[in-house]
Amino acid sequence: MKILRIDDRLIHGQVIVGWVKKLGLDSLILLHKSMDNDIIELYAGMLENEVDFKPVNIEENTEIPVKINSIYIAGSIGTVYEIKDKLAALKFDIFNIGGLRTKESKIKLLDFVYMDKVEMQKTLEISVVLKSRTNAQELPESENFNILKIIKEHL
Amino acid sequence: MIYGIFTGHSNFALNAVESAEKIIGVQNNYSTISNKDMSSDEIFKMIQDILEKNSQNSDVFIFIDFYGSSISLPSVRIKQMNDSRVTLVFGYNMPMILDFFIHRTKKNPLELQSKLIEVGRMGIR
Repeated sequence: MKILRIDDRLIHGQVIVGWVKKLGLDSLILLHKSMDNDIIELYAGMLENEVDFKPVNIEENTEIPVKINSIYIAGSIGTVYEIKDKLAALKFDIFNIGGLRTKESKIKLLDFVYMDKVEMQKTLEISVVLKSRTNAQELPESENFNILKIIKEHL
Repeated sequence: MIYGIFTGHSNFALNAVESAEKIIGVQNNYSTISNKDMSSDEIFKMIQDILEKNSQNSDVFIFIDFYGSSISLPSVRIKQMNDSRVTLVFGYNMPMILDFFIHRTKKNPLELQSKLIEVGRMGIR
């Protein structure tokens, strides 16, 4: 299974325990834009040793590694939008909006998802390019929302 | 007096401290934070606001329910900005909360931190 998740908290309890541990995922790939090394090290330290952790700075035009049984995490829709064509080649099973909780200048779509109109439009475009099942869901067993339908209702 | 900020998922912190108060009575000079529906920046700002509002307390302990939670990174950033004033404690339990309230006027932050880790471990059998 390959999951692409957008979560502005990046690597945290829901991801570490709720997704990686619960689904028995082998790898976590952090897609970031020139994040400080000390912050990356902090994130790496949060994961169990068995989890293969790979940070990828998308601004360095590096290859995105292909990992089976993995979760790819990005902190914003903008980050994913910039590399959507590269990501499409990875053929994700799920494109998951896991949490966008910054509320300022955003519209509430769900308790854990806030977006502005540009982000909504970009999410629709990303979903078309990725051709993956798209949802909004905090955890694998929590309520699964049709985020595309919700976005269309707000545009 | 050392100020306490208890944080956690959902109502963990609030319920934990309220439970401690049932044992040792109502306390003051503390705050609780839930990460529910909060972004990292909002968590960071909330902790920062508490520190500013309680600037009369020279020392602050921030309790985080577990290392790796969404409160971890904002707390570490706060610690980096206020190194000498802030102590972080990850993975706290009831014996640690009780000891924090009992000993925070009697020990310096370093002694209290060691004591809390000790009682936290001893409390698990």
